[in-house]
Amino acid sequence: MAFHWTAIPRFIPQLLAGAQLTLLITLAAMALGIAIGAAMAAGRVSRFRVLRLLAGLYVEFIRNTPALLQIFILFFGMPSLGLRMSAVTAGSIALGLNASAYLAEIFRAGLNGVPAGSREAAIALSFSRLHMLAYVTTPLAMRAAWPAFCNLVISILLASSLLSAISVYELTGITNDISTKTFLTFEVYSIAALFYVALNIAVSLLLALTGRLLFPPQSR
Amino acid sequence: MIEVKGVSKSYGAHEVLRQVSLEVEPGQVVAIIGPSGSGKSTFLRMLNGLEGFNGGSIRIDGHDLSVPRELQQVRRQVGMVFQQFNLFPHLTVGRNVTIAQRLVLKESKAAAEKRARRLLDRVELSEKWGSYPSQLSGGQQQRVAIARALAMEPKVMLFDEATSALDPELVGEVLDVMRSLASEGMTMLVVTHEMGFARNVADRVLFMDGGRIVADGPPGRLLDNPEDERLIQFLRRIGNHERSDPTPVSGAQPA
Amino acid sequence: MNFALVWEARWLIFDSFLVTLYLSACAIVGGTVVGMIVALLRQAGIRSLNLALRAYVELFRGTPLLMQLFFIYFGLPLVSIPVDRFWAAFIALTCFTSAYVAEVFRSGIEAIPRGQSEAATALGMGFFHRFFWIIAPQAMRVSLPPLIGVYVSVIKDTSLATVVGYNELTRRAMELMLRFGHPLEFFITVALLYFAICYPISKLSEALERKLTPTAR
Repeated sequence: MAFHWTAIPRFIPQLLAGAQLTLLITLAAMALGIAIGAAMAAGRVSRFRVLRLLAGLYVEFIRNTPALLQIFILFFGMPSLGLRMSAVTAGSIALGLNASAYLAEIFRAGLNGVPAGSREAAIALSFSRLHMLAYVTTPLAMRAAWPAFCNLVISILLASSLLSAISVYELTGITNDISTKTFLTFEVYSIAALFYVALNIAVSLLLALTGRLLFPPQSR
Repeated sequence: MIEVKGVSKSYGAHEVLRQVSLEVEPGQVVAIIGPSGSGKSTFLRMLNGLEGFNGGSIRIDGHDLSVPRELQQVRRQVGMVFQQFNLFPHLTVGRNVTIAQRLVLKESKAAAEKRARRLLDRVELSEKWGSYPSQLSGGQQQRVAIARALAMEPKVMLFDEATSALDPELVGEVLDVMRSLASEGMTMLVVTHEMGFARNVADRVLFMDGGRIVADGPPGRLLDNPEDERLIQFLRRIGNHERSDPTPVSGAQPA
Repeated sequence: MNFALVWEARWLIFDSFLVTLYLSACAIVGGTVVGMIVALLRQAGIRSLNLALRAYVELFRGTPLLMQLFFIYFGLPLVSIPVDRFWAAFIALTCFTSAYVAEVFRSGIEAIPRGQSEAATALGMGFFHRFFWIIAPQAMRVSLPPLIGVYVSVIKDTSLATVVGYNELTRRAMELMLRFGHPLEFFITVALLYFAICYPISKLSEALERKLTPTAR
């Protein structure tokens, strides 16, 4: 078969718009995920049994069911409870809830990664609970959680493609659309794959740079 | 300065400390020796509330340690130096020494830094102000840890095997700092394996075994003419030489 | 909530549950075999081969599975390779999974101290003896918990076959919803079925990990 690469450039603006939406969805999902994930992590290490149980149930349920199904539940299921949302909103929230369960585990592991000695030193220096949390536990937990956090950002970026299944025109949705209209399947998907790889590399670099600023390598 | 009366501690059925009592005068330097598992580290950690206790009472400079509000008072007056240094890895040396002054003592930035520089100068590490702990040797880290504890202007300093994690050639520099502190009249409790330090610097040696203080006295009497059978055995086992620890931690690593 | 409807459709749901299990099993076997081969070939230390294998791994880990699925389902027929829905899902899941499996094995292999390989070499063992008798058994131990974690992802990811119309569990829920309404009931039922398979396997992975690293806090 013959390839028609010359036809591709005129779809580039559409693909760029799709990539932009992909990034926006990722950003929104991560923001929601961090907020709920932090709350869930706090719940999982809470003193209260009920809170631990509820947070555990939430985290385990989300981690052990498909993200696509979670998106369907929010997009198709919520209207029957009277909650109607656009596909982008429903999809981003579903993705954010999905991220929050993984983030809860990442944050919890980060807390466990704080050296016991640093905590003891803070106690011996008579830090208050709040000071210890702000100056010792949180920075050290963030540092411990950072690599896993970066990996999660990338997997959420990739998972945002699932929103194409509820007709959101992010990068994958746009690609499908162009492909079915033009039959330039091979060409369009190849270019879109390059877009994803480029997005990955760009986001990874940005995260690595941020990590170097936040946690200088000599401070490990 | 320190008043311990009949203190006990147990983990489940395992008794770590049994009815320990002790009085320490201001300016006294007390070395605590004993086999591992004798409860000496637990006892030390109890003195600033890192470990709770089941029975008895502890008073430091008049403050009762079983009263939560007074516990914070005690911790401000009791400096602690750990075996593993426990410097804050994400903070520079300078920040390690100033942070508690700023947060706990509410010192101004200038005052905290001035004191920190003086103390780092004292442990001969003033040029390491901007370095991170991971960039220092173990001996240097431990000296920073001592400066960090001193920055709180404590009345008592506790040393929990402060030299046990160090390479043999780095032990001396830390002991030197401890020795000079002792000569300035700091009240010190030192859990150690360094018999040389116990003999030459301490005013008083405690020998602990099985969760009790078995022997208590001036180093000359206790180390050179021991009477207690267990102490005799312990001293024989460790050789009773200047440098006691037969297998330094770092030397035990496979090549 | 109307779960009577779900009960009526139970055999339809159960049928597609088996389809999901079947696709999962196929993809797990396929992904593991291909992933092991990739990991093994990367140990050979041939530069150009390594580069190609890295590109393979990065490509399948760096693009969404959904797109890979579309590409295979719509693209392969264009180059005269006929694929039906099952094969498209199977090939996409296998490639995608193999990239993750290869990475799991690679980090497992890298976790083995160099001294092991050196000791084996000193005993006169060749590449294959070293790999299969010394490195692989130890790497397998380290890799098992994350490997099982990947398998959980595979089971969940079979839901993506929905988009090419393969009749697995998620697709069936969608169809039932389109026909009878009541989306929440059908989707939640199906979610619980996924949970019923994935949760025990996740716990197994966690238990193995704890067993392998007893000192981890």
